[in-house]
Amino acid sequence: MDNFLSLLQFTDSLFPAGAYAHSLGLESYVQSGGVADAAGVENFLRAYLGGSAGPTDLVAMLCAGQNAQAGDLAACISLDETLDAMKPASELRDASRQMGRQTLRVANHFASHALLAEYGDTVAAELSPCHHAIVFGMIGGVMGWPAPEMASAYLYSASAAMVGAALRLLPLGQLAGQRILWNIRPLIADLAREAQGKGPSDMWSFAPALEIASMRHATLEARLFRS
Amino acid sequence: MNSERNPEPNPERVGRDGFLRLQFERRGARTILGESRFTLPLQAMAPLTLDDGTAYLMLLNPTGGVLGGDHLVTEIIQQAGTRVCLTTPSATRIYRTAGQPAILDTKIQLGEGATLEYLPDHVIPHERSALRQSLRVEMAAGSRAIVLDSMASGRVAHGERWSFTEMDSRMEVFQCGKPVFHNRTRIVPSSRNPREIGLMEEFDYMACLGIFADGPDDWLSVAAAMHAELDREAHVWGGVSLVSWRGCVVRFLARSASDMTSMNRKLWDAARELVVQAPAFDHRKY
Repeated sequence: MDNFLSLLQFTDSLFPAGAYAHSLGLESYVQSGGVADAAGVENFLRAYLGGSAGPTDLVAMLCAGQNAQAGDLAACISLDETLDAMKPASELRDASRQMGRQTLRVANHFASHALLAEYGDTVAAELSPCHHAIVFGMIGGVMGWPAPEMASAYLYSASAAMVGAALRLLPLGQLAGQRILWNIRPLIADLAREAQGKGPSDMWSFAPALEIASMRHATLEARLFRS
Repeated sequence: MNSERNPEPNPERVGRDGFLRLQFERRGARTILGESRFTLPLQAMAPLTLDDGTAYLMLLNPTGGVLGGDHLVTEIIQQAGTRVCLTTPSATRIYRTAGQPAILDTKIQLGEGATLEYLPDHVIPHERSALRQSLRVEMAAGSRAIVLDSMASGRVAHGERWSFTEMDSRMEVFQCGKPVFHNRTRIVPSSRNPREIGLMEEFDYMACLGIFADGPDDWLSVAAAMHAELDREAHVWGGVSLVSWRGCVVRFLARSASDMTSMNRKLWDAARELVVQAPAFDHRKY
């Protein structure tokens, strides 16, 4: 039960990872008119999960969890560097790093573990980028979160953050937001299942338009979000 | 230059193994091709020397395309201080296969202070084709690289779009052993429609140009120049971003091959001027 509760805490929207500051390209689409309603938000979310978060971050997260369970910090750092190189869009990369540092800071504040503390020192020395997926996976690894639940919770948390951004960008009600999260459950389950047992060389992505929207976000005249 | 016989074919195996190895050396201000070994269907033409001393060379596949089961391996070694520009005479066609995918593996090693421009034409995956390709670029201290990867959705002029079986394309760039850019694109149109929002949408062509240099370059200026080139062309949609370590990446989508080819050329010329400090030149390709 303690494991389950800690997983809930780290994926709760109240957790101060800073996800509320990022739309991950959605704001660009809303401003261009490419996303204008709940259906558009759901399609955007499907592209993000299926083309990026699932095959890239989720696989990295689960690998980091296994490495942390094995006490292999060097493997976690190597994975962190690889994930950094897989995020060429600087706003997406910075968002992931910021959320990772915030999550690691909170974790090291009350869930003391030698591996996380050592990783914190490495990050502070700027020897590892500290991506959110890596930190989350390492915490899960040392806490003993079951991989299937950890995978689903990770993607659900990312989905909830995206829907939260949509509710601020578009005139959508809470019910519309909840319907999107309800509809997205089968995709989350599929991606969580597909990611199990994968290694770092299995990571891939295919969401070029989403990545371009993120690259162009910095050029928007008025912005509500940092990405 | 040597051509080597293909090994005896495996009767259970469909497709051919091709190998190309080129080694470039510095001779005074010029770069020369010191070693060239290949097995068909891979070949390389004799290089031209550009005014700036760069060896400009076309990589050839005289069969005009790649078949399922083909495994073609290219190794390029640039010694310290060499300047090399590699391209192809035309697009690479990936033919239909009922079985194994075509595999193209390319590895390029840059010695200290070497400069690489690697700009092959785009890949055209035919209906029911399958391709797994990889490009690995290893850069030593002080080296520079401009690297292009581009593709079409299919034989668009024939109305063939996203009807291939699989496209799995990796580009990995390391500077002094550190990974600076890893891009693995995996497209399986039967499981996910590439025309969906966030993916390719209404576009049929995709290009990714990476510019990397271990030097004091002003990357914000390079990115701004690339962005300006993109914004001058209404028929493409793209973005530019700095990678986390000494480089920037341009990704854009286009509706036609001519739009993509034209933009690739403009971006290349701009990158050449800014990062290689060399002028654009006539490619004499078409």
